Amino acid sequence: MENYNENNIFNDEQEEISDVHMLMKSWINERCSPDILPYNNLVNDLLEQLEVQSEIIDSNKNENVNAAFQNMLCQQEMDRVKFILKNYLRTRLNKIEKYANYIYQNPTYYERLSDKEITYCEQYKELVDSHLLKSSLETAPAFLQNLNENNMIVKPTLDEPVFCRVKEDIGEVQIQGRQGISITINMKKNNVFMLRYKAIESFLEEGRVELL
Amino acid sequence: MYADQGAKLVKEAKKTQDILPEYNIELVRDVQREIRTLHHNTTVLLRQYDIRNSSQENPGASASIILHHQSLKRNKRCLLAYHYHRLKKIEEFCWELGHIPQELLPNLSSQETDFSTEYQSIINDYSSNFTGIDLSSSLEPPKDPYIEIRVLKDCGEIYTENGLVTLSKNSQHYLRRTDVEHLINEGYLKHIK
Repeated sequence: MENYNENNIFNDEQEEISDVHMLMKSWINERCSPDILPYNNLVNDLLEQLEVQSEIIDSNKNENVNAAFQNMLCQQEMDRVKFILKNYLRTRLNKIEKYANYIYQNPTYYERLSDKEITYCEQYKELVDSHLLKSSLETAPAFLQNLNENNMIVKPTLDEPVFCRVKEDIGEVQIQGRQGISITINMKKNNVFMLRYKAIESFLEEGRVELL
Repeated sequence: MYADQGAKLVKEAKKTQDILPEYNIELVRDVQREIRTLHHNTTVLLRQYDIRNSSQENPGASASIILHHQSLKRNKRCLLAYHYHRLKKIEEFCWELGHIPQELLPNLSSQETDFSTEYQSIINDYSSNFTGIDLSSSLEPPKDPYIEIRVLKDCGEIYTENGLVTLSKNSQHYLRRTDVEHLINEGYLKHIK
């Protein structure tokens, strides 16, 4: 019985490592990209695993010195995972707030957000719009009251330069440069490039590059 | 006239990037008044001259209308920039402390106070989906699970994993960071390095 238990814990940890690793990648990509990336559904799995882990810690809390030491290490690791989760979610919220109007007008963006993020985005947009209207433009003539003029909507700058590492051989790729000049680069595994985000957007989606 | 006041508003926002100064209701009202005057002038001008058909004949009038219209748009931009800049500051407080500090409350307009309460409830709605983690805690990566803290202001008893701890002024404790983080943010405790 004891053996079985240990194995179980061990398996759980193994799984957690890979999940945490995946989340870390999503987190780094999210932080480095100017655009909002698709939501990583691992968040909820990880939260459940954290819960399980903290129950394990609680259950062998008073066993012996070794267990106490092990618990502290676990606790620290859990704090780190929580930090990444929190930072991942907050980074996304930050972008959602910034681009709320743009997201609202482009339903394709909804697919990248979680249901909760969609609610957040809609509530936030409504709140900000109504505040701005009430406090600044309520008495202004109607033609000035539009808050969604084209030049007022903040869009993600897809031309922003990003660093990326190639994860698998992609081969020759045409990159649009300045003033319509295009250049060809050879993207080999483990190469690092600095390119416009737009140029590697599709590769990032397919998981063939990662941002740095 | 012609968006001078609006520019003043924006300058004020720019000068006070790190703090939240008193809401400048008078300047805001001035700009709003200017918008109405400009709009009034434009309608009068438009009525006087039939610009659409004969802009060539009255270059003066059409230039005047364009100038008025541009000032209107500029004023709108300045007003929105000022208010939006303040919103961002308020949002920061909501995330960091969970509320606006008491001493800053008089600096907010009544609409801004409403905004902060509603924004807070949006945050809470969202955070309640993730019970395991405290979304509003510090965005600094954690170094140690336990930290040494000194109590600056009495804050009574708190629950920690080892039971109740009484935090009385000037005492020093070694506690879980996550248990006391919000008290550090609020200025009750000090993290001793």
